[in-house]
Amino acid sequence: MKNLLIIGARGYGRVIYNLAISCKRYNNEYVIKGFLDDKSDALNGASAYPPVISSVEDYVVQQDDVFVCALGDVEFKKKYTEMILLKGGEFISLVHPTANISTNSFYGKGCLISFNAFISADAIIGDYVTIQPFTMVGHNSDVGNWCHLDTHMFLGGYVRLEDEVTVHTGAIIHPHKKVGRGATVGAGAVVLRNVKEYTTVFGNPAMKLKTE
Amino acid sequence: MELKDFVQNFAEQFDETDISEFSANTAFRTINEWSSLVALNIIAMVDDEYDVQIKADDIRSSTTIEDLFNIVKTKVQQ
Repeated sequence: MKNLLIIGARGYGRVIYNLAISCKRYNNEYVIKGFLDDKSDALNGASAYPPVISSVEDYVVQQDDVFVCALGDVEFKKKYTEMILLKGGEFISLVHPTANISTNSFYGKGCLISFNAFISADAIIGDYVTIQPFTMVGHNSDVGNWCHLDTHMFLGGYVRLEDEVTVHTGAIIHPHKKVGRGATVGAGAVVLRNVKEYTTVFGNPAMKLKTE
Repeated sequence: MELKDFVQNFAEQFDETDISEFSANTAFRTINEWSSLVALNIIAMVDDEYDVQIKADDIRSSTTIEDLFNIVKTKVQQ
C-alpha cells in the first residue's frame, strides 16, 4: 500500500483530498498520509482532514510515498512538484470514477482529472495536467505538460495546448487552434485565433490583453 | 510596418490554406477558405498586431492583401 501526500492544504488541497478518497484506488492501492504545506495551521483545526505533516521544503521522501500537487497556479504547481521530484518522489494521477476517458486517449503522470470531465477520443494529455469538473477535451487534442483546465471549459477537436497553458472557467477554444506555451485564456473567452506564447487573451472573440 | 509581415499575419488566420499561396497580390476573397469568421479574425489580428481598428467596410473595399495593408498603414500613421 502506498502513502499519498497532497501538496497544498488550502481550499484546492481539500478538493483534491475529496478526489483522492473518491477514486477506486483509495484503500486498494494507496491510503492518504496527509498534506504538505508550509502553513502548518492551514486546516484551521478541521478534524475531518488528515494532518499537515510538514512543508514541501522540509519533507523527507519515504519509501512507499506517492504525491499529487493540489496547487491551482501553474507556476507554483511546477515549482513544488519539481521540488519533490528532485528528492526522488513519485507522482500518481487521480481520475474520478465519473470522468469519461475515451478510446485511445492517454494521460501522463501526476494528472488530476475531476468528476464529469470528458476526454474525447484519441486525445493526448501530458504530465501534471489539472482537469477540473465538467471540462470537455475534444477529440485528437494535444494538451501539454503542466496545463490547467478550469471548470466548464471546452476544447474543440485537434486543439493543441503547449506546456504550461492555463484555460480559465468557461472558455471555448475552437477546433484546430493552437495556444502557445505559458499563455492564459481568460474566463469565458472564445478563442477563434491561435494564441501566442506567454500572452493572455480575453473576450469574444478573444483578444490579447495589452500590457502597456 | 512591413508588407511582408502583414501578408504573413494575414496568412496565419487561415487553418487549411498553405502559407505559400499568399502574396501581396492575392485576391483574398477568392480563397476557398475565406469566410465571415476569417474576416472577423483579420479584424482581431489587425487590432492585436497594429493597435488600430478596421471595419468590415475596409475589408469589403479591398481586393488584394496589399489593398488592406494600405488601409491599415494609413490608420497606423494617423
